[in-house]
Amino acid sequence: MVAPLSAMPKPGFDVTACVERVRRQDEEAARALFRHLYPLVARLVRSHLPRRTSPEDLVQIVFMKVFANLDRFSGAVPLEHWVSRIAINTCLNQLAAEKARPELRWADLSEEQTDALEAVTAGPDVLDPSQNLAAREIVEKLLAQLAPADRLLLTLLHLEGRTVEEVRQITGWNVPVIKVRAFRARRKLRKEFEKLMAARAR
Amino acid sequence: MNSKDEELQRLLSAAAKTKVEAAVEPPLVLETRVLAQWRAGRADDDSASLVAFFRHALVGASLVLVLSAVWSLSQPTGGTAGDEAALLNYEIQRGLNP
Repeated sequence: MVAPLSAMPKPGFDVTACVERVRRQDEEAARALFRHLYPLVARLVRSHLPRRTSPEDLVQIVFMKVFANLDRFSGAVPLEHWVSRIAINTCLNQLAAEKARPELRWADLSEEQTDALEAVTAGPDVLDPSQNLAAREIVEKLLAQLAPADRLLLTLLHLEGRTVEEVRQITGWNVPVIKVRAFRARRKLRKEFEKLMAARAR
Repeated sequence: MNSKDEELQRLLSAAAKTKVEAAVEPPLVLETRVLAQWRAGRADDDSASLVAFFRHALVGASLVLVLSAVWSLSQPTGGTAGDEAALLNYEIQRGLNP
């Protein structure tokens, strides 16, 4: 499971003082802030990465937005939450720009992935732990068929194991919206899964 | 929960057990790129403040110009004496060249 957002700040690192120094154009503070936030941003970007963008480019875009808007950071929410929202929105915008979502076909799956799917359908406890990676790849392919917001929500809830409250903090959406969207997104994912399994039967 | 839901749930549970690897240390190249852009943004800020300073200076100078013009027009000039001299000059010219 992923560490909760509240656990992100490292002990001994004074975020508020660092932000203040960055606002006063202190380059060492900018470097320290970048190093402090990098693991969080890198993980979010890798989890919600658009297909045609390199993770490093996206991380760079996120940090440019963070630094450009640092004066607007009021401190009402923890810096990590504020940065998470910027990272998530940047990924969503990038995903939205990549409109084409090629249909997933059974033939697109590797042998390991088809084996994992066979194991999943064979019954509970058939899937070997060594097949988890293949399962992850299949889920990512299925998620790629969904709209960016649906993909984000299912990744946060089902793959990262975040709570609805954590999703609210990361995305800024309210709880009823998250619940309704999650329900609909899960239904769409199931439809894609059924389509894939029907293709296997043919 | 029907069988397809159960299968999907099993797939999601297995997928969730695989962590997304993300480096803790940022690559040096990326750090350099980000800080270079941060410095460039800072330089843009400086030039923007310089432009703002010149804009304010221009507005101030224009204001001073307008006020000076208003002040000079509203001041009584030595116009009467000047006019009399001009009339005398005119009279003399007419007297010399009838």
